[in-house]
Amino acid sequence: MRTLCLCLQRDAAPSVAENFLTFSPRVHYRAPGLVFLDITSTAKLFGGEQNLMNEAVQVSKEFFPETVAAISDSPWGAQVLANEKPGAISLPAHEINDLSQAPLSRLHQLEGLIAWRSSQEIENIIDFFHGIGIHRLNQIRKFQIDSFRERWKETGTLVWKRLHGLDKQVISPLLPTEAVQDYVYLDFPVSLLPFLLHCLEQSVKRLFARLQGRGEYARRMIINLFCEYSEKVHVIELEPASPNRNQELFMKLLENKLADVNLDNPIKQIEVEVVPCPEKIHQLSFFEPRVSDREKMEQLVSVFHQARLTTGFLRPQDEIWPEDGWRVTPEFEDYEPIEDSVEVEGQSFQIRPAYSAALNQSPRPSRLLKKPRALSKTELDRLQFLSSQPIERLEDSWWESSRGRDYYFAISPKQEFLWIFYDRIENQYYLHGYFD
Amino acid sequence: MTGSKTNITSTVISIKRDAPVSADREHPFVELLARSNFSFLQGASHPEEMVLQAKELGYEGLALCDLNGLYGVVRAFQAIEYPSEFLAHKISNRPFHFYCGAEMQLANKTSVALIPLNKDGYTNLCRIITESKRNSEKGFSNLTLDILALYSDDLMAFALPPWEPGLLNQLRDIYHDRLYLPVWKDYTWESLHYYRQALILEEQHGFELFATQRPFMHAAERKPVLDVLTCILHKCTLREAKTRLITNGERHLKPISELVKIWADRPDLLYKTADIARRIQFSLKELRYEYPEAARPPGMEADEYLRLLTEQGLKWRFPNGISPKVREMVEHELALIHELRFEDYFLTLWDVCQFAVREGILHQGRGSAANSVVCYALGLTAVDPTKVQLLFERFISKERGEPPDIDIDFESGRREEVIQYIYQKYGSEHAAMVCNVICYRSRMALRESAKVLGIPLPTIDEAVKFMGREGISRLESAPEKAREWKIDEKTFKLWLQIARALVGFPRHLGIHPGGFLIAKRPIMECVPVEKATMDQRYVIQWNKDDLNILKMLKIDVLGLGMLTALQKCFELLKKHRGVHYDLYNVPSDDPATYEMIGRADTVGTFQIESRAQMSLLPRLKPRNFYDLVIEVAIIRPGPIQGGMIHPFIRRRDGLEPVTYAHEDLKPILERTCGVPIFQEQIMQIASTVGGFSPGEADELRRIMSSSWKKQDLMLGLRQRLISGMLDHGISQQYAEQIYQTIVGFASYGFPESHAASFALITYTSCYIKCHYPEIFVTGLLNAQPMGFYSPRALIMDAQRHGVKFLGIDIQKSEYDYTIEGECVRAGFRAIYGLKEKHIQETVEERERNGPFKDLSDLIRRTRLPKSTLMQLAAADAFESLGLPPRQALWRIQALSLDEQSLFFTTAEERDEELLPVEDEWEKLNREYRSQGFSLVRHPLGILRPALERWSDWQRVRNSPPFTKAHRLSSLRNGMPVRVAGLLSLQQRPPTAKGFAFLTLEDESGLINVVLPPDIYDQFRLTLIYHPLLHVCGILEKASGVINIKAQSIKPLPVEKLLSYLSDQATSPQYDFTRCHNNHTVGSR
Repeated sequence: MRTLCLCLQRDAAPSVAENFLTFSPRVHYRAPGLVFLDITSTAKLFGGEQNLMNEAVQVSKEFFPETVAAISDSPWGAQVLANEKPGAISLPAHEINDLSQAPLSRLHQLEGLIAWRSSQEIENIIDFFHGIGIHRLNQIRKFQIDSFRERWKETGTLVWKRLHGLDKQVISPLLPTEAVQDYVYLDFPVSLLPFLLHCLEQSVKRLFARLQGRGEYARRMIINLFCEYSEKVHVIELEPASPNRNQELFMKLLENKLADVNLDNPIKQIEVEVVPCPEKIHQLSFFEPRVSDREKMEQLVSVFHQARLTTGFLRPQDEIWPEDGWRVTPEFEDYEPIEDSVEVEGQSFQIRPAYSAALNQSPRPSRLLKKPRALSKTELDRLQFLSSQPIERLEDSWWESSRGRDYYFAISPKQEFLWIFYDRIENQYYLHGYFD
Repeated sequence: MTGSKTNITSTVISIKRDAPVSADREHPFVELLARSNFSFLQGASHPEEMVLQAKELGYEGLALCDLNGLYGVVRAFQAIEYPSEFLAHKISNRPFHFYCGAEMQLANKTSVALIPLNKDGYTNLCRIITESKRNSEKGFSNLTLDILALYSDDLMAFALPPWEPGLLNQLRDIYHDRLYLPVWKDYTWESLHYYRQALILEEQHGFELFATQRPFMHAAERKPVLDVLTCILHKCTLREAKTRLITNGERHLKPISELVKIWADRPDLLYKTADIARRIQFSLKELRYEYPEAARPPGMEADEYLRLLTEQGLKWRFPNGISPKVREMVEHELALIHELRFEDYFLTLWDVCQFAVREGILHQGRGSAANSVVCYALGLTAVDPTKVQLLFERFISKERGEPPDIDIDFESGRREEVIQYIYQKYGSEHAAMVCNVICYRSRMALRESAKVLGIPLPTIDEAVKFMGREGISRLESAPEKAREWKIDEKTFKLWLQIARALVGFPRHLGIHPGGFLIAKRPIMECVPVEKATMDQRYVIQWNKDDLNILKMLKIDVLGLGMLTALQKCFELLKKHRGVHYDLYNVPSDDPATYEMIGRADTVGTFQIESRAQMSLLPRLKPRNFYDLVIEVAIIRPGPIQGGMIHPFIRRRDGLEPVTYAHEDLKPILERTCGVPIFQEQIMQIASTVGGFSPGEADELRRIMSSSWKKQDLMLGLRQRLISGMLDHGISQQYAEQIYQTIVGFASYGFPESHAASFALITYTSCYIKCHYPEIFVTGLLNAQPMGFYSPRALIMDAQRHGVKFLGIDIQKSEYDYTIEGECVRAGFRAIYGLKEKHIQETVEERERNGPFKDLSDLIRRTRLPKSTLMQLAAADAFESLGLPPRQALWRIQALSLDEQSLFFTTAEERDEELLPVEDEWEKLNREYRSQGFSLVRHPLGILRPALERWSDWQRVRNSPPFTKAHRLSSLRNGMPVRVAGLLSLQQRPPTAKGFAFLTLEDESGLINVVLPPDIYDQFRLTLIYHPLLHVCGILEKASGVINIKAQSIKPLPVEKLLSYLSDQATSPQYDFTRCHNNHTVGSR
């Protein structure tokens, strides 16, 4: 079996194998970043093994610029060669010769589709041979299989067999089943649109490469943008008139949508999901009856969206600032408030207090202003404060900026029960909410 | 906190002193529920800060109730009862009461604070804490109501919210009218809610309330520190912490005027605190420590018995009769000991030392005990105090009233036997180890604060590496690093501020290396005891400084590796040379020994083997025991920082006149050429010309012996010393120099008595090295790990002294190195990772049934595991069985050794002919991997032909050729030189102003290399990763000391050199311009 091995040199998701389905239906992914292709029957379609390898490496380098590859008679042979002599093609039946001068440490890569049970076992073999002055693969090929079996049991036998080309591995056809989804965690949160678009472009590119390999189009794209300083999530949905794989079009649509998004709170994580459909099959009508509850729910949400209404669930949050005390989530999420944590060891325990855990019991107005409103002196004079001392004093986030508020209850001339705070940094009173 | 811009620098340990407040008699208030940072990560101020701030604010008192312990109470007590003489002018004299207590957490997550009303109450509190810590891991506790009820007498209880009626009633049943409910207003809804609940409980059920601030910090500025500690406790970042953080910074000590405003609705609750406090009649002063009663013959009083033993000891120590001077000293000491009732203390130590004598454990007292003839007579010390001028008052002082401090060193390997004896003799109820409070130092503070700020781990590692030993200031002076490490400027600044604020905060309890508290009454009546991390070990909640403050007896049972080595030497001398030596009878004033010391031939000896010591020896040339005492004491931060070394040497050599800054200093400094070298001299200077009172002098001694120095304390000391000396007509410059010496002594310095004790061990080790080098190296190797040098360096040094070594042999070696005629036989202990048990069994089998016939015979008889056999094969231990290492390894690897089976299978000798022949370099590598040294070859010896060829090439280019170590002495001073060597030792002492010192070795000897700070910074990583080095520099020769001042350091291109050696026959014109790649060999 002629095998192309692509070493991506970085950890990759299993779905990356889908990118290479255009080169062969028999593709195998192995963690952390190896892709094997059986090219016995497809090499000719690409004008020979060299051309196929070049094209496959080019596809891979789009996302894994340090990819190296080699072709040989076996997956493990190709893997060793890809690391030892990147770009090499071992002629049929020449594999053993081509590997002979490789250093002993290459035994680690002599694995192919199935990784060694324990890399420590291989390290022990290498160490042992190094200890007795043997450093190259051809030197250990001279030993008999019994010498290997006696010393390293099954692993030793397998090593010996592979060194002598006697272990066969077969690559089966790949049937894509994974969702077309991409997730990015940004080390440096993004608050500028061009940077965000750049990050998104990479995700879209990765997903479309998979669609290309799978022979599918994107029917819909859902993008979740998770904010850095709160649990806020911007949800963007794109649905072109007809399914396609036009990346430029999707990016344009995305740019338009993002123009309305406030990025003051930088984006920390990105999740992109594509709802695919086959390239050559007629799409279902939008007006076809939906059957499942989920579909009904989605339809309802879609109607809300068209009416420019936001939907979601209110979820409390363990934050000291009242305005961060809850958020809207698209899905229902369980809420377990932060409490004192108790670690138990046998009969003993250690309590780690959550000092402000009781904040969620503190009175909060039923109508909290999105943005506190500064009160003029005249307005302030008309208010009747219910206490001279503050009811609450909140101080937090000193590592970001100095903030401190003293909260009071007050009655307005209209007999409204108000929540007022005095900003201790700005020396200014604000209205923050109304109680029923 | 929020009133001003947040700035952690303002939170650095200091007391706010805006305006002095007079005691508020109109509004009496006592804070009854304070916490300090001894609540471990749940309090943000030092105990001293809490009490001093409370005093400053005009409170009548403060009760420190740390979580589950009394860890910090002695510090707070000291701050109030024995304030520093050097800070006295800053602290007001108004009356103030300190109360100790503890906040105990119950299993149901509620807490009760307990304060003792009297001494019995205190004992009960200690018992409760000890019970709660019994069988609990560090930081954990387990307390039930049953235990509270059992020890409830004479304790006052404050039930902390949340209050559950059932529990409150149970507590009322236990404590009756001694139960109170604390209420506070910290501007949180929660505190208001509890306050309202408490008012109902008061009205409906008659519970008594009082007001508190429940302070976790002494000032609001500490809120950021508390938040950071909270994050460390929860192992989260500040951003993740959310409601784990405290809501605001109100939990601090506030001025009484503010409290009056806050409690305007119920001022009675405020004033009631003073009434409650008046019920407390206990102070830590009441703790009366009683020495354990030592075993003595029936009918004999302690003083009689001590005199008897002393007289017996004197006859043994002075067989030629006791001089009137000694008699006078003994009588003076015994009288003082009797007056201070210290007899039992001496008898206890005598008993411990007698145990060591019976068991053949070498020991010696160190420290000020060497000032005492009684200690000498009892065998606690080995230094004859009549031969050195020592002050007995440094040991025991009537004025000080503190127990004497006697540290005794035992053989490190057998110290555990002594510890077990103490436990057995006094019982674990009466003997416990002293704790060691582990505090944040720069490195840990930097790491933990970085984690809290969410700084990635690789960046933290890089910053810690960059910081080096210089501490946080190095990072503060390099703000440009922020950009390099991709941290924004603000976060970087904050990081350093937080780290600096954390330095000195207690982190957790450790165990003191050997400090024991032994008491007549059960220890837990006096201080809580808790489980240490080490199995079967219990520690008290106080450290050695706390015990000193409370005047409690501590004995230090310390381990000293050199005593182990010397004991092994003495045994070998007795067995193989028929000489009976011990610490007391080694011939003194041996000229050959002093001659050897004078040429710095001291590798492996005690105390004078470091680079700094060795470079001083040829200049100082010790000629007698007292010279050695000075040599031991002078290379310490005290004399070094005071710039005392060079003046001393010049004066001693007569190169400059001996002068005194003041005539009064002459009697103090006469014996050290007018230069202060010992701690006692500094104290005497401070008293004589600094005008220090006895109290101040004693505090100075404590400052010099303590490991934690407070900045404001040192400033106060400086002011006091300099003004005192100026008043006495001493120049400002000399006064500054003395202050710097004190600062140095505070880092590390020796009292004369301590130096004398050590000098005796130094002399003994040198004597044996000089006359019996094979015995000396064997003793040292058998006591490893210890000392400065690796076994490789010790073996090479012995070989240079003509000692012959024999390799490890399965038929002849034992676990330890042994003496075979004039040679040393390497022991199995040299092999890395070998289990002693396996080897002892093998040796026993060999002695029982004779030598092993072959490998199969060995395996059958010993059942050694395969891994051990492989290790033995790699160490070439089977050569006498006719098995070279590679064949042995090949065969053993094929063995199927099932320990359960009675039959062992041996593999056929298949494929052995395919094994390559081992060359010299491969042999060397194998030996270094197996045992870290080679007895027959040195890497530089193998590479030398290639280096010679390279030297030829260098000569053509007019560059210096490679020079061997033993040839350096024949070169002239100032010449450029080039050397190659294996890195043997690397030192960068903090007092060396950034200089580093390397010791390289080649096949002919040691090479000393000095690295200026810029060169060290440039080549630091090379030193970390490459053991074989190529150094170019300038030869410096002065007073018999040879150094190379390095200009460049490179890794030796080993593979290139080896390939030259293998190609030599075919390509003699090897291109050495390519010799600059990085390669390593062997292991360090």
